Amino acid sequence: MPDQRGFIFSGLSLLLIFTVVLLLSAFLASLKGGSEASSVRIGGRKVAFAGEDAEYNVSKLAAMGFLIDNSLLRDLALVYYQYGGIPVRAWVIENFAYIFATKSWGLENAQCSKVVNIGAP
Amino acid sequence: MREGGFILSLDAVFALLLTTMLVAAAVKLAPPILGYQEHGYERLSRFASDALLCLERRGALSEAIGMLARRVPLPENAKLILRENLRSLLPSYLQFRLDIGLPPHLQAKLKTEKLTVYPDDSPAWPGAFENLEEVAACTRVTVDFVILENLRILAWVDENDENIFLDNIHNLRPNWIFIRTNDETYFRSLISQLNENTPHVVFLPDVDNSFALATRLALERGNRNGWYGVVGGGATMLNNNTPEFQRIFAARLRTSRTQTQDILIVDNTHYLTENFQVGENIPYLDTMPQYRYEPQRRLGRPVYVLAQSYWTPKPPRRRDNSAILAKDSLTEISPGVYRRERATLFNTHFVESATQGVGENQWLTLAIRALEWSSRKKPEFEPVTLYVWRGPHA
Repeated sequence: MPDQRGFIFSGLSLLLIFTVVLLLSAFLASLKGGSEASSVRIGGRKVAFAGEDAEYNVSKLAAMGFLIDNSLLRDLALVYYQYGGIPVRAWVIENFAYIFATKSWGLENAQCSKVVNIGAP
Repeated sequence: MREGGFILSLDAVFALLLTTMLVAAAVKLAPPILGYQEHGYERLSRFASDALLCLERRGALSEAIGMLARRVPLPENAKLILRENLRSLLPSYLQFRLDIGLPPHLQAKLKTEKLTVYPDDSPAWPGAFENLEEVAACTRVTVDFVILENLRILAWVDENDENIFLDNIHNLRPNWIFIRTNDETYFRSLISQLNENTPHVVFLPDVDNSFALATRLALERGNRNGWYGVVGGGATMLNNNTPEFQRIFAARLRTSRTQTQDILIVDNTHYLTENFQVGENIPYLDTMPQYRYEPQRRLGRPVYVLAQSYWTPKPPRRRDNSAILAKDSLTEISPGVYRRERATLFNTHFVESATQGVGENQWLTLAIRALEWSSRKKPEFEPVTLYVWRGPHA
């Protein structure tokens, strides 16, 4: 007769093992979530940087006496998309330039909105 | 009493142990590598964006771009400024590469599409950069190339001192293109349509003749369409005090007088006069006449009075006169898209004054600023990208 040795687990012991396995999976999932949050944070920072930079440039151009209109803002926004990969939209309504920088990663979305007083257009 | 339970064979226990060990190994090994990549990259990314922002706010970027655009002194000095600033902003264990896009006219002159700055001039940097595993990049856009390079100016020149004045401007702005003429037919051909030869500004420092109606209408139409700005002075309005010129400059000539005083800056919030103080005196050759203009605001064109002149020194007879008038009118041609109509009018013979050494530098500065402000030139947007990585010196 072959040697048939083993262990006897009570129901409670088995539940403990399940708990350990569940905790480990939760821990791994949280690490994954943390790294995703870091990516969103980096991307969000890039979006905010583009929005703030566009605001700075529009203010600077307005102070230099340049005509800020939709065609100029379109040209400016295009450079942010072409070279930084951040879609920026901007337009003029009366004395204000409205700037929106946005980017999505799956279900996550970062947006930066700015309003610049450009004086009388 | 019922005692329920499970029986596991030894093989099953070994399998369970093996599974647990694999899970433990995954927990121990994989996450730290992942964490370093993410958080290490985040720090790099922050370094890149902060350094780029500081470079702009310190004024180092504008200074370097100004050097590049004017090519005075050599472009290498622009590199030096950027390199020194970045070295002081980033920790020593970080290396960097800064790329500044160049507008087309500078690409041709500097024979490169972009200016690239590494921590030093070692030829090993490009190769090292290509083989990087982890590099963070941050991009901003600069508007500093708007120094009105290659501004195309059509000047009406009918006296030699106007040539001397233009030569002096050319010395200060060597890349500006001046087209000088006193041939009205040729002048009219250049201002009548929009093409590559159309000037950015029409400069009428002191026109001694009256233009034909066709020329006046062409000038008014070009200015109204935003093709070019107009800068006038001297006797231009005296000889052309017509409805067309009144609409161009949004001013009407009332009278002229000699034996006047210097002019005073009264508004330095405008681009033309921002290098001056309010109340600053601009010396003027008192043997030359000044003109009294009445701004035509009722035509719906905003007109800014940036300087005043005074006819007599005594308060009872003292009379304020607009010495520098800046018209800035806009027409909305489609929703949100405007056409700009700009003109600047000096009530002085500033060319004669400057060429005879009375307020020469001030008049030159004012004329240059007026030409820049009145031009239809648009700013050029160029990307500035900073790459940052951890690593040894190449």
